[in-house]
Amino acid sequence: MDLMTKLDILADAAKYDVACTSSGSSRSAQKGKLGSACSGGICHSFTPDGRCISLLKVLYTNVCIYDCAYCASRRSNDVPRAAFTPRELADLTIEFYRRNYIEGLFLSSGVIKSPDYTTELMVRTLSILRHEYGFRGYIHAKAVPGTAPQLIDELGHLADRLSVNLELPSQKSLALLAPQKSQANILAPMRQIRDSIAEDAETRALARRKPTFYQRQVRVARKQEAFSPAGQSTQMIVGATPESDYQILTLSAALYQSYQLKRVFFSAYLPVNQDPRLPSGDAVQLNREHRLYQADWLMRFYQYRADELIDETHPFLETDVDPKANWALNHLDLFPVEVNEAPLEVLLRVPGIGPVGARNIIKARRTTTLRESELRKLGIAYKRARYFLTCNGVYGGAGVSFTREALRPLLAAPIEGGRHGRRADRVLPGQLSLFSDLQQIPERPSA
Amino acid sequence: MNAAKAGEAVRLDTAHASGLSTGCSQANSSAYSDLRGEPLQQVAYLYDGSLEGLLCCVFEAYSRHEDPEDIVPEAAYQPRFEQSSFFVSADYERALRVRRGVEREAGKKAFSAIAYAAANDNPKTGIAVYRFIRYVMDGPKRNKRRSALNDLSNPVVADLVALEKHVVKESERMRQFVRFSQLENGVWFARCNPNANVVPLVMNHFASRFNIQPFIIFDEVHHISGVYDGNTWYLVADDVVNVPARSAEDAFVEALWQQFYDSLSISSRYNPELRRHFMPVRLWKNIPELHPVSKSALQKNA
Repeated sequence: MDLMTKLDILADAAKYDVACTSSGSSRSAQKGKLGSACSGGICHSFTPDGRCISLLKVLYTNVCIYDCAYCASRRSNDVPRAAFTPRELADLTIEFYRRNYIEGLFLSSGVIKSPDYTTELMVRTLSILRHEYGFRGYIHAKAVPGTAPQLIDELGHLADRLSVNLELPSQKSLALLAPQKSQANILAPMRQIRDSIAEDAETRALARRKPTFYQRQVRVARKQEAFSPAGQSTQMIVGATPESDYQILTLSAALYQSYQLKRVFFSAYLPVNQDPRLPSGDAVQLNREHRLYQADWLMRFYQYRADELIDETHPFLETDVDPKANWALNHLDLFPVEVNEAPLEVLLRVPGIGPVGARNIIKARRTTTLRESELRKLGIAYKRARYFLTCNGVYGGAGVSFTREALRPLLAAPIEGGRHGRRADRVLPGQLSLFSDLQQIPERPSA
Repeated sequence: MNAAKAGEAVRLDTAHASGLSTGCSQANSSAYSDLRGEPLQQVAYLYDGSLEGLLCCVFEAYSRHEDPEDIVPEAAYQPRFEQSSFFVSADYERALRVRRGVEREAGKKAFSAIAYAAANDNPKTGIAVYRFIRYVMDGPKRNKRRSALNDLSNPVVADLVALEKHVVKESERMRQFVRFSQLENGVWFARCNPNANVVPLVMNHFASRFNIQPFIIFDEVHHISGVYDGNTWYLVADDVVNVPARSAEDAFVEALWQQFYDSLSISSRYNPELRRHFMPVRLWKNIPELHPVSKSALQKNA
């Protein structure tokens, strides 16, 4: 099989992995070696669906011993199978990297023979890249559940970021759709990665400390590459099983907290297989995925807790109002806030003000009193924020009554996800009718 | 990192030396040294388009006690009614004095903002930088000392920051979308068409990352090439580049990349507006994966 066909098969099989970030790791260039990594990451291209391509995202092989219902490469599917050799894949990465096509390699794999065997092949590829070619770019590797801890340790010292796929949000769904996987099996490597990252950071901190009279300089026995310096991430499929947004967000909050994950990715379930265990309709829940990401951003950058965004009595996020606006509408008693005085964490809760805008406001108000005209220049969405702000004592949303009912339609933001593909096939709740919305017109009282 | 440092020093010198249109002054303009006496009321300063030229215009405004109406690159100048103009030639020493003054009064960050903004193609750049320097140097004490850039609601600062942001964004796009191809003689070559003169600003990034390969980045719009010879980098101003043909293997790797790009797309999520948002169409002509795979490349290696 030639390289072109292999790449076609293995890139096609990897495309449902959502993570494609090259951020979180900073490795400066070194004379005589190829590559560097910058902490913000660089997106080198964008697919026709607008997702970024930052890494060469391929499977090592799409041969798999597992038979997960949702997966295109499952054992029972009749698809062409292929595998790279370690040298082939390392060469391809270098060739792409030198042309500035990619930021590095994203290496995932189907499980061939056993998890250990698969990981060994991945380790061999990465050590050719790192040790033989001296590659200093970004590497993201998938840890396969069930792999021996020693192999994961080896993989972690070669990669910038490790990830273990959670696949589905609950043990019950996992048992239904991926009977060969179990949550305990998935969480074990996540725990190991978390502990290794912490241990590595601590060792480095100790080694950096200057010696004192009472404490000698700590020397590291063997100099090693950092263990997964960009942390770990995970992903789960949304919409293949009946879990609610409440369960998903609570789970991801717990993962951020107890496993110190850098990212939790959601991927809207795309029907690729015919299987009685899967939902039958072929509507892709892209809008739901979008709202979940918004909630995820609020937890990571806006200091919201999961239980503020969603609760058990309303287990799904609103479809026509974003979670931040929804929170503000439910807490109108905390608004309006004075833009010249409110602290950062309060400004972050105003719809229309983002992390950048909030920090710009704080910078600008050191020298000037902010009124409407000044505020409009600071890169915030004043149109939305006005209802929740006073600028130097003047309320911005005058003319609209300050109630949930009046403000809600003004803040409603249906997701404009493009006019193409399945996203455009919006399901209308009923046939359009000219008269159904009209209320009974009261009769004019006769004179 | 040593290579990067050396490159920085070279940059200031060559950007100065590579002034694109020095020497061709207009009919109604004369050299600045000819005009002495009363400060002019309506005057435009013309410069060669380089950062040094712009800083020298600022120097000139201070030394002649004038407040120019316009400071524009000579190529973009459109005279106003009753306006006199003259060309200020770039002088490295004077530019350095302005730089030191700004850094003393407002800090290094403020100067870096100016340096980035100066790479903007917008003809209003010159006057915006001039007003910002005036604001930093002459304004009240509280504007100075590293807080000048924080006063974002001030139109003078807001204009400069907007110009800077544009250039920062465009240099990020170049870091994303510059595509190298290997030539027969082993040199790596890339063409780009940025809307700001950002090649000098991204050379450090590329020269450190690709320090094992000599490369050239040619800017078709500004006719500037960034050249890295394997040790240090420098700029060359030239309208055309004549490069040898691509190596045989290069077309195949490009075809592989195009293949990879095509197989990564998910058709049920098709959203071209979003792609255009991240990847402006004006840059597509130099991005190979957006063009159909060339059949000849495939057959050669099949």
